[in-house]
Parts: sequence; structure tokens; C-alpha cells
Amino acid sequence: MALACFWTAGIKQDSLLKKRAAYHLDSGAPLENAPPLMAFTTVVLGGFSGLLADVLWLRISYLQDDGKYLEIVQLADWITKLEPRCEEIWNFHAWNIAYNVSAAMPDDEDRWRWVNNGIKLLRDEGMIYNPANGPLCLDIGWMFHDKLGRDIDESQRYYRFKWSEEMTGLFGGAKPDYQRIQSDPAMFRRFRDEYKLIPDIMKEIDAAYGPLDWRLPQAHAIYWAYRGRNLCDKTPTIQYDRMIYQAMVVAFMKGRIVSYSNYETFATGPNLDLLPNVLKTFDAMARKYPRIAGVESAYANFLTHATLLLHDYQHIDESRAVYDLLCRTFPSKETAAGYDEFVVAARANVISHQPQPAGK
Amino acid sequence: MTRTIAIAALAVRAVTRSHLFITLATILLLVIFALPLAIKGDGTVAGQMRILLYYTLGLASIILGVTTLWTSCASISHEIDEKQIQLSVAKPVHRYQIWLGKWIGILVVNAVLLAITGVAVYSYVRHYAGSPDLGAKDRAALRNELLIGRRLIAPVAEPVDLDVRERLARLKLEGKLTPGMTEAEAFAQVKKTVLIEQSVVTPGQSKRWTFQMTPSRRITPGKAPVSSGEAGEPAVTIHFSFASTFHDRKRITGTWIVAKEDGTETFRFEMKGWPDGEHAFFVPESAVPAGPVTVTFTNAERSQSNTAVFDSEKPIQILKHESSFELNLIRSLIVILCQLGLVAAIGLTAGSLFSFPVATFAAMSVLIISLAGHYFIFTSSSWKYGGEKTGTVTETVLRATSEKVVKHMEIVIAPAMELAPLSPLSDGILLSPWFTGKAILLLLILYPGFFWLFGSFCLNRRELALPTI
Repeated sequence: MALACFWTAGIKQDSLLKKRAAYHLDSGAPLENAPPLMAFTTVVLGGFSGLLADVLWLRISYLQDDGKYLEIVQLADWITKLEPRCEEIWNFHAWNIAYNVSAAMPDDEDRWRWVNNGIKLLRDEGMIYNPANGPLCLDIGWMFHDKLGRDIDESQRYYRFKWSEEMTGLFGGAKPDYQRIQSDPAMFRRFRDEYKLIPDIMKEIDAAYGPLDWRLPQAHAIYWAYRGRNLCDKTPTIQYDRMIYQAMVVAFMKGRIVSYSNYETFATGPNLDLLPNVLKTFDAMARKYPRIAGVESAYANFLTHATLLLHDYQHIDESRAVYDLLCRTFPSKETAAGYDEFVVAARANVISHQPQPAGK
Repeated sequence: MTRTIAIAALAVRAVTRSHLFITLATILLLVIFALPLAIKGDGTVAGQMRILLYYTLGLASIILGVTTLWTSCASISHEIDEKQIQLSVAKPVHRYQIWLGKWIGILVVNAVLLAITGVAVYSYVRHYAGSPDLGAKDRAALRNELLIGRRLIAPVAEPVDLDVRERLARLKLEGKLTPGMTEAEAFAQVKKTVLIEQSVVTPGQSKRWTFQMTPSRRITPGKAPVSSGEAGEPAVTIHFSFASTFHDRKRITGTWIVAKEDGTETFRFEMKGWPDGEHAFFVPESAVPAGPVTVTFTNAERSQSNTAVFDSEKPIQILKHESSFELNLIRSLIVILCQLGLVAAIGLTAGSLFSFPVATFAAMSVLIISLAGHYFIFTSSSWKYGGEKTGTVTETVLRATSEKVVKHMEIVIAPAMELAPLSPLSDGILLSPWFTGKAILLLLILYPGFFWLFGSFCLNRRELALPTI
């Protein structure tokens, strides 16, 4: 009787696994790319791995409350390895390390180490166990876009400087020499294995959205969003597209390194060469998502800021062209007042939205 | 005593005969030398070393703890089951001597295994710290913050009770006290508020702490940490943490001044740091002589700084070098041995009462319930006074009784749980002779003593020669 049951189960095994995979219920499928020790541990612990992960998670919470952060990377590493397929767990721990723990560090160098640890957890570990996971790519992109790219953190300039330093060490200038990478196996391996950067994809991105300065985080935010979007064949991709156009806007505003020699003098400025591709991207997004208000308002905001920025940098013809596009696409009371009045009003608006210094 | 020692020798021989000793020693050495391969630090050498120390010794303690519990449960119960104990009780040996002899035997085996663990960990740490790949900064961090025993000196508590009482009386008069709160709870809540208020240093203001420094009792003179991390004068560290009421991306700027009791300034440090997190700076040892020493923080003007809110529950501390890492490691191993002694006592008592499987289950349950009870009391203490309670809890007889039981258990458990040596060891904090002595007294004499009496009594009452059917 038992033999008959085993035999029937064996016959049904393959078709059951296929159905599980079809319905995305294949949590029991063997891990790909996992080292033997981890594959062994996952199989041996079975359902208990979740319980163990909970205990380790409690310890993280306790340590964090107590201001003891050293062990958190190790515990997060173990938790993610116990539940390697769960993207939310990867995302939570990477985010915790890069945002919460880094903010508790006393100086820029320590903060950067933790932000980098968060990125590494997702990029160097999460992507290995979930190579075709679009949301995980989006999470990595978010780290670059939000934590490194935007001004939400007091140490963001230091992060950008350190990342630029690292990227300069990797490919020298603002943009990698794709031909050289392809012909140099050691360099190719470093791009692919250390930073998970695929030169062919970078080239595609440069053609579609560039010219980007790959030493700055915006280019990497676009890269990861682009990779993630390509992995999502059926699921909605607005989040990926949104990250791409948001990162492009930031890259247009400050996506060029003006001064690089050291941290004190490190400064970024607008990358006005991006204008045609930013406009093309927004146009494509407006067509792709015609009913989503967020895309329209982002487009209108960009046109307003671009008009002002191009005017300030004495690119008057381009500024007027962008203004005309704004008038055609998003006509309003402000745009009807004329170019000069619009620039004055836009500047006043920008100044009024700038953060005020402390104590004033 | 000779009889007890004879029983202990028999217990040691039983352990070595069963190859348990060799197997355990091999597992422990494997753990110590293989664990570093699986350890991932925060990216710094000091961080990596801290985790290594904590995890290797922690895992060794867990392995030894589980084995001790299993061995001690088996020690008496197996002998009873297999009638071997009849050979011992037929001789002029009291049953309390059997219990004690077995406990000493298990303790001796653990002591030897812990010594092997200690030597292996120490060799590994020294090898790692002496690696030529380490930079000067990493070496200094290891020497100054980790491979050291630093005494934590807290500031002299500020007399706030009078202020608290006055404020409490005022609140009572105004009818502003939370209804249903006891006198003690209200006092604790108001005291917390007062302490928080005293921890706020607005721009342009100062705050002073007084420390009662003791003369240096350093055992290894000349090896104190130095301020620069290289050659220089020995230094102490001042640790503090603060937050800010503003988050407008401005660092807290201010001046730290260390002075003698008479006001003579001995050291000055200009600070510019982000709020949140742990901060520290080195002070030459000569700047903090024995006797009262004041440390004052003066916040810069509003244009340059923000309001600093010092942590009222984790106040500023001075860390002074007093012991070598070696001595600290030995003390921590002694405390671990004491903990194993307690575990062995629990196991032996359970073994005196029950058969082996029941004894193991009972002993394990006692440990788990104690640890879980302590954990829940510890975590709930954060919202006990002054914290927010969300939702309403229905008071039932079961709830009230279990709360009482856990609270009473905590009176016994808490002192033992406080004696955890690994965290201070891996943070380079001194494990004082007092701490070690307290561990010996509580975990090796007092608690096991109680179990000895109880276990011997149970063993005495137990029929050891029941007929088998």
C-alpha cells in the first residue's frame, strides 16, 4: 500500500511542481545559485526556518532599540538566507540598514558604510538568490535614487562623493568605454560580478536616456529600474517608469560633476545635454499612462523647472522652446502671462519652497 | 569530602569514557575556527572582531549549556534506571555527596572544555589582531576599544527627588495626575519627565556632569589606549549620545570642557556632530585625575547649532582603562562556568526526581520558562511608567495570577540574567572582580546550593531499588 502511494506521488510530482510554478506557489522549489551549505540548511530546517528567522528578527529589534548596531548586518544576512525568496524581507533589512542604522551613526564615513552595506545586501546577495526579481531591482534603484540621489539625508553629498570615487576607480571618467570593457575580460568581470553592471544594458540606457554621468547615483537608479522593468513581463511597470523619469529629472538638474578633486570641493551641476531624452521620456510616459495624474504633473513641473534652469544658464532659445511646449501641453493662467513673467513667477515659486535655515 | 571527590572522579571518568569530552572539544574547536568564515561584520575590523568574540563564545556557551543539561539529567537518572547507583548507595556515601560529586565532576569537565575554548579564542584573536594586513587605524581601534577592559564610570546622580516631590504635589493640587496611578508610578513618571528636561541643552546653554574618579588600578601599566592611536599619552574615552529637537540638517556644535573640582580646565574638545547615534572622544588620562571631575558641554549659538537632547536613560559615561583583555577573557570564562554550574544543578535535580526523558523535558522547560518570563518582563518594562498603552486589556483571574507568578519568578531570575559576560567582553568593558565574585556567589554557590539541598532531599526520598516487572 505504502509503495503504491509513493509510486503515485512520484508520478504526480512533476506535474504538481509545474502547476505550482504556474500559480507562483513554488516556494518549495530548490534554490538556484545557492551555495551548498545554504541549500542544505534551507532544506533541513524546512518550516522551522521561518521560526528561526523570527527569533533573529526579535534580536535585531532589541539590538536596534539598545543602540547596538554591529551585529545587525550579520543577523540580517542570516534572516535573508533563511527566507531567501521573500523579496519583502530583503527589502526590509536593506532599508533598515541603509536608512535607520546609518542615520544613527555619528559621522559621514560610518553612515556611508551602512548605506553601502544596505545596497550590497540587496545587490550582492538578494539578486543572487532572486536573479529574475523585478521588485528587488526597483529596491536597489530606490537606494540610489532616494538615499544617494536626493537631499533627504544630511550626509548625501558625502555619499555621492564616495560613490563617484568608487565609480571613477572602476571606469575612469564620466562614462565607461564600452568597447574596452568588452575586450577586457577582467574589467568585464568586475562590472558584472562586483557591481552587477551589464555593459550592454548600460549602453542601451545611455542611448535611450543619456548621456548620463555614470559616476552619479541617478544613472544607477535608471539602470536598476530599467533592468527591473525588463524582468516584469506582465505586472504593471509604472513604478519602474516613474523611477526612470524621476531620476532623469534629478540628473538633468544636477547630473554633472562640476568639481571632483576632493570631498570639500565636490559639486554637481545641471546636465543640460539630457534635455532631449528627458522630454522624449516624458512624452512616452504621458502616452503610456494617459490617465495617471502624477505623470502629467511631473511632466508639467519638469517643464517649468527646465524653463527656469535653461534661462538661468543663458540657454534662452532652448528655454523658450521648453516654455512653448509647456504652453501647448499644459496651458494655464501662469503660462498665458508670457515668457518673461512666467520666469519671474517660477523663480519666486522656487524660492518660496526652499527650506528655511534653523532659527529663522 | 574524599567520598565526594571520588564520586566526582567517577563522573569525570564516565564522561571521558563515553567520548563526550573528545567530541565536545572537537565541536568547540570547529565552531571557533569555522565560525569566522560565516561571519559578516559591519565592514570594520573592530566590528568584525566584536561579533567574532561574541558569537564564538556565545555559541560555545550554548553548546556546553545544552550538553551540560543533557549530561546532568542523565547522570543520576540513568544510573537509577540501570541500577548502577545501587553500587554507590550500598557504600558509606550520603546521597547529598552523590549529588555534589556528580555536580563537581560535570563542573570540572566544563572547566577544562572552557579552558580549551578560551585558549583557542585567545589565539585566534591575537593572530587576527597581529595580522600585517591591518592598517594603523584598525590596530588602534582594536587596541583602544576592544582588546581591553575599560571601567564604565557614570556621572554622580543629580539630586532631583525634591524637585520631583514639589512638582508631584503641584500636579496633585491641580488634579492633573493620571487617574488610577499609584504614588510610586506617579513619582517615577514625574522623575522621568524632570530628568528629560534636565537633559535638554538649547543653543547657548551648558550642562555639567560630575564624575567621581578613582585612582588608576590598571594591572598592565603603559598599555592604556592613546589618544592618537599611536604613541602618546594614555587616554580615557568619554561616550555620549544625543538627539536633536530639530531636523533641519544642522550639526550640533559645541565645546566639551573637562575640569578639576576647583574649576581648573584640563581638557577642551570642540564638537561638531550629527544628532542621534553614539559619540565618543579621547581625553588624556592626566586630565581626569582621581577625585571629582566635571565634564561640561556648552552648546554653540543658534546660528551654528541646534538643541541637543542627551539620553536621560543612557547618560554620558567615562571609560577608563583598568584591565587587560586577557584578564577580562578569563573573568568572562569564569562567569560562563558559573552559568554552566547552575544549569548542571538544575539538570541534576531534575534527574534526581524523574527518569531521564522526563528530567530533560522538565529541566529544559524550567530554563525556557525562566528565560521567556524574563524576556517578557524586560520588554514590558519599557512602557511600564509613562509609556503609552494601546487598547484595553480585560483583567482575568488567569492573567492576574500569571502576571504575579512571572513577577515573583523575576525576583529570582533577574540577578542571574544580569550576569551576562559576553556583551561587555566584546565591547571592551571591564568585567570587574566584583562582577565575577557576584557570579560565583549567585550562580555557583547560592542557586546551586538551593538545588543541591532540594535535589539531595528528593534523591533521599526516592526509592532506588524498585522491582522491575
